[in-house]
Amino acid sequence: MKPHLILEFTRRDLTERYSGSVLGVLWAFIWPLVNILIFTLVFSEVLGSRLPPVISSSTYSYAIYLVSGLLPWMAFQGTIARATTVFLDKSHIIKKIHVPLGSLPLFLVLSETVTYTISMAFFSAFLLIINAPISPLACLVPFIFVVQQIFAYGLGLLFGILSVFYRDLKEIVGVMLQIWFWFTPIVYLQDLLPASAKWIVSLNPAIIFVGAYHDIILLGKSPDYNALIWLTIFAHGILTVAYIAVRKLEMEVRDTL
Amino acid sequence: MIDLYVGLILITASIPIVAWVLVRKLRWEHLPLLLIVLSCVFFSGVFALCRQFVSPNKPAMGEQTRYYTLGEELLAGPDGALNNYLGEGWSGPEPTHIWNDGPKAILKVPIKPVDSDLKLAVRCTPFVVPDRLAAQRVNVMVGGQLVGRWTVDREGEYDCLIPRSEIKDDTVQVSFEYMDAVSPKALGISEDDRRLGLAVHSIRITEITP
Repeated sequence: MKPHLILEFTRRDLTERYSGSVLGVLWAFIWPLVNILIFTLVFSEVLGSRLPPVISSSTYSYAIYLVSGLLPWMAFQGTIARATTVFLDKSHIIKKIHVPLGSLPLFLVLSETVTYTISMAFFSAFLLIINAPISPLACLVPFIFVVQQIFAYGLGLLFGILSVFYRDLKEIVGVMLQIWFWFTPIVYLQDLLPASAKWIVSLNPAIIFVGAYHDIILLGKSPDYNALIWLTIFAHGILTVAYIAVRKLEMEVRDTL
Repeated sequence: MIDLYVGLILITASIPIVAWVLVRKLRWEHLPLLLIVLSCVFFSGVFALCRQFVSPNKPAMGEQTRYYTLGEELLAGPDGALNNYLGEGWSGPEPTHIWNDGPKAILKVPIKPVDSDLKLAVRCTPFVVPDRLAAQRVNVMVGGQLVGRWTVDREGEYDCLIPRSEIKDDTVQVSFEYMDAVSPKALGISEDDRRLGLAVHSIRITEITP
């Protein structure tokens, strides 16, 4: 798929969400800003949520913990959920022009990345305002985000292909993502779980990237690099499987659509 | 060891694909697979390089290294100074003490350079159960060397000597290894499933003047 076509899909995806509204694409900036303000002010100032002092003594510790995990999760979840229905949603285009199915959902990855980048820009500004130190390790965040999105892309592509044949998959994926969210320590601390639940949660690959963001953004310490390497290999493995599935099923998908 | 596995997987994954590309000549439809492999190698490489060159023991960002003043008593508790020096293996702080949770608990205390050996003194209470668990045996390790072997059967102060040669990077890293750590749940006493050994009340490190 030609890069300009992917960029055009991305642009449309971002602008069509707010088409007809007075503020238009400005909403893409307002929403993340409102979300961050709600998460940080409500949890830190209104509810007074704090992490245990042994982890961080900052007034905003819980808010930083929450937002640093939630923003990438929203991009991850959004990519998978929307890629699951992308072939059905774009069937009118697939029928008219020859679009390589393997690269079609790329525009969703880019679109979610733009939203995440805007959100992270606001979040970084918030960190600067509250005088929270920003570690040089923050340079690693884009690398971890790309790996995370490769993982999401692989899963989304796989589910997208399968959902053409099994329409219930869209709902199943929605439920699965909800369960997955609560099995990932984003709103709670992993240490609070009972030992049996810790074991199950530790099998969850999402805790690798969420934990890495917590380590870097909240604690300013190195993430678990070994786990990140395994995640990289796993994510690319999933993407390879998805790509092969697309190649094998492309004709059937076009016929079914 | 994990380096070896990662290396082997990367090599075994990339060799057949590269060989296949070379033999068959690169065709346009194979480009995505090649990109996936290259991307995998690139990102794994980035993280492997970081692991190699970025110290995992850096202090939390923005925080000056909190050098411990020799002789100061580090008290446990929610606001206790001891919290600043705890590594892995501890439970949450309780009003007057902190329990270990598991077979090992680590203490990392940055100090300014010293010329003599140090003495570590720990005021603690063991997790004991009459007729079932008489005492807690604890090995105290510093820099991989056994520096103390305690049998803690009652509340008290227990100490050991820390050789200056074992103080690396201006940090006293003490590892408490609990031979008899067990959870109250396992003993049928309560629902508490933490593997307890010692409840530490305070810790003090002093210089041994020659």
